[in-house]
Amino acid sequence: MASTEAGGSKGAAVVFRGLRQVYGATVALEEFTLDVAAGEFLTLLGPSGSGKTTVLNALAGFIDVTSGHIAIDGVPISDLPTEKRNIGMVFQNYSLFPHLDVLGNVAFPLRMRGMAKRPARALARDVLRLVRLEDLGLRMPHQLSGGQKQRVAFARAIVFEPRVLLMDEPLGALDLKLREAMQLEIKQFQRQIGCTVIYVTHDQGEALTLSDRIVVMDKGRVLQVGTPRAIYDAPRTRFVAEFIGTNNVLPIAAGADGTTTIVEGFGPLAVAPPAGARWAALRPEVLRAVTRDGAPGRAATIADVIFLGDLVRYAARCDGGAELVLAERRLPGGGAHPAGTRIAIDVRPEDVVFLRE
Amino acid sequence: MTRRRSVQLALMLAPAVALIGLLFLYPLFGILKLSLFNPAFTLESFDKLRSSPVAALVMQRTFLLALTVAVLCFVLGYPIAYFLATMRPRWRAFFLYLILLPFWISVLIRTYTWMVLLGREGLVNGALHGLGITDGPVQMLFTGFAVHLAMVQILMPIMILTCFAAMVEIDPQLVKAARTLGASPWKAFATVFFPMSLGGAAAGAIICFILGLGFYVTPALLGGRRNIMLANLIDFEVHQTLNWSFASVLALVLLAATLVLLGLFRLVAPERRLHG
Ligand SMILES: Nc1ncnc2c1ncn2[C@@H]1O[C@H](COP(=O)(O)OP(=O)(O)O)[C@@H](O)[C@H]1O
Ligand SMILES: [Mg+2]
Repeated sequence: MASTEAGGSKGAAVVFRGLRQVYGATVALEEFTLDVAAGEFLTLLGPSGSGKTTVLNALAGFIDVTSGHIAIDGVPISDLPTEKRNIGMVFQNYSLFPHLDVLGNVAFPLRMRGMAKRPARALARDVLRLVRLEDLGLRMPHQLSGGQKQRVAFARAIVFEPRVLLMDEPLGALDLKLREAMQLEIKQFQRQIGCTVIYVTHDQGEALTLSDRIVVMDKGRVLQVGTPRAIYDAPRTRFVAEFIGTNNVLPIAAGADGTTTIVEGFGPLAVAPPAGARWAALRPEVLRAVTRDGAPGRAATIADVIFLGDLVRYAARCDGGAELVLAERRLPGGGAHPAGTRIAIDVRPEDVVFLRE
Repeated sequence: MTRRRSVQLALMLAPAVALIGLLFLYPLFGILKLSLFNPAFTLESFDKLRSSPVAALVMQRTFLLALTVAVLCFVLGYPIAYFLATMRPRWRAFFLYLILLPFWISVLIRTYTWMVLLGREGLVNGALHGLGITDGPVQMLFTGFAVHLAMVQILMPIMILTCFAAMVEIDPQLVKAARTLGASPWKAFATVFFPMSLGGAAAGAIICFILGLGFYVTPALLGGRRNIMLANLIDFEVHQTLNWSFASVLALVLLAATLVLLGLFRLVAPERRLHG
C-alpha cells in the first residue's frame, strides 16, 4: 500500500479522444479530447450541468458514451466493466456502506479482490493511519462527522492502489473551514501516493488551490486547458475570465489613431487592441485607486466598500459609466476609503487581457 | 413536553384509546376469563391444549403452513420487488398498480376465484385436459397445494410492497461505488444491496407469517376437511363443540405467537421507518 512505499507507485496516463454523450436532445458532452499525464492532479471545472460528471461516468464505466474512446496507459478501456478498470472514486455524498464499519468499508475493495478478511483489515488499518483515522476503525459510518466520512471515502478509494483516482465534488457537502483544511490534505495525500487524480468541482478557488492543470468546461465543451496561473492570468474567453476569480469585462473599440484602445465607459488605453478583440478584462487587483488630485487615470466615485480583512474591495462607478470592482491590499491598521470618495483609477496597459469571444 | 401539550395529546388520543379498549381489550379480557373460569377457576382447557393430539397437529400444521407461505412469498416477492425498485420510474407506477389491484378485491372473492380455477371442472383442469397433458381431472381443490397457492397469491403484494419500500431507500450510488471498488454486478448485489434490503424483506416475511397464522377463509374453502388450520379449529370449537373455553385458549396461543413475532418485527424492521 501507498503508506509503505510512499511515492513509489505512479499513476497512469489517461487519454480521452472525441468523447461525445447525448441524452435525448441534451448534448451532455461534446468533442472532449484531453491527455492527462501520469501522476497529474487535473481538475474539471465548470458550472453545474457542464458535463464534468459525465466525463467521470464515462471513465468509470457507468455510461457507454455515444462516441469517442478512452485509454488508460495506452490500453483502450471501453470493453472493461467498471470493476476491472481499477479506478478509485470518491463521491460527493461519500457513499460509505452504512452496514459496514469503517474498517469494513476500507477493506471492501481488498475483499473484492479476494484478500482474506484479516490481512484486508490490517491493510485497511494502515491506510486509515495515513488519513489519521486509525482510532475510528470500528465506528459505523453514521457515527462519523462529515470530514471523517470524507477521509474514510478517500481511504477506501486508494487502499487498492488504483491507477487513477476520480473525485466528484468531494468537498461539496462540507463547510468552508473544513473544506479548506481538506483541500490541503487531499493535495498532501496525492503527493504521498502519487496517483493520477481527476478532480471535479464547480468551485474555482478549489480548482486553483489543488490543480496541476485545470480544464474549464461549459455546456459540455472544453473552453480552456492550462495551469491555474495560465487560466487565471490569460483567460481566452469571456466565460473563463469571469468564471475564474473576479474580473471586470468591458467592451472595447479601437482608437482612431490605431495606437490606443477605447474601453467603453472607462476611457482610452495606451495600447492597440489585438485583431478581433472585443472585450478587455481588468482584474480588480491590477486597478489602482489614487486619491491625489491630478493623478493619472479615470475619475470615479466609490459606491461600496467591502472589507475582507487582508483586502478591501471597492465597487466604483467611473464618470464614463463603467462599473468596476477594485481590490486593494490592506496593511495592518491601514484604513480604507469611505463610500463616496472621489478617486482616479489607473491601470497599466500590459495588465489588461483582451478577449475575442 | 409541557403539561398543556400532554393534556392536548391525551384529549386527541382519547377516542382511539376508548375504541381499542372497548372493541379489543375488553373482548380480549373476556377471552382470557373464558379460558380460566368455568365458572370457577380451572386450568382444564390449558391441560387439554397440552394433551389434545388434534390441537397439537393443527398448531404444527398452521405454523408450518404460515412459515412455508412466508418463505415462498419472500423467494417469489423479493425478485419482483427488486425489479420494481430498479426499473425506470416511468413504468414503475403501472406495475405497482398491477400489484395493488388484487388488494382491492376481498380475500373471500379471491378465494372463490381459486375454487373456480382449481375445481374438477375448473379452468386449469380444462386446459390441462385440452392440451392433452392429463387424461382426467387432477385433484387440486381441497388440497394443501391449493391453500399454499392461494395464500401466497393473497399475501405476496404485502411482501413485495414491504421489500420495495426498503429497496427504494437504498442509494443506487452505493452499488456504483461497490462496482468502482472491484465488485462484479452480482457481488455488488450480494455484499451491498442485499444486506441493506434484508431488514425490509425480513419485516415483510414476518408480516406474511403473522397474517398467515390467522388465515381462516382460504383454508376453510380450499383446504377441505384434511387441512384444518388453527383459526378453523377455533371456529369449530365455538360453533360445533361449543367448547368456548378451549376456543379461548387456542385464540390465546395465536395471540401469543403474534405478539412474539411482532417483537421480532420490531427488531428487524428498518429503524428509520419505525421512528420517523
Ligand atoms: N442520465 C441522464 N439523463 C439525461 N440527462 C442527463 C443525464 N445525466 C446528465 N444529464 C445532462 O447532461 C448534462 C451534463 O450533466 P453532468 O455531467 O452531470 O454535469 P455536471 O457534473 O458538470 O454538473 C446536464 O445537462 C444534465 O442534465
Ligand atoms: Mg456533477
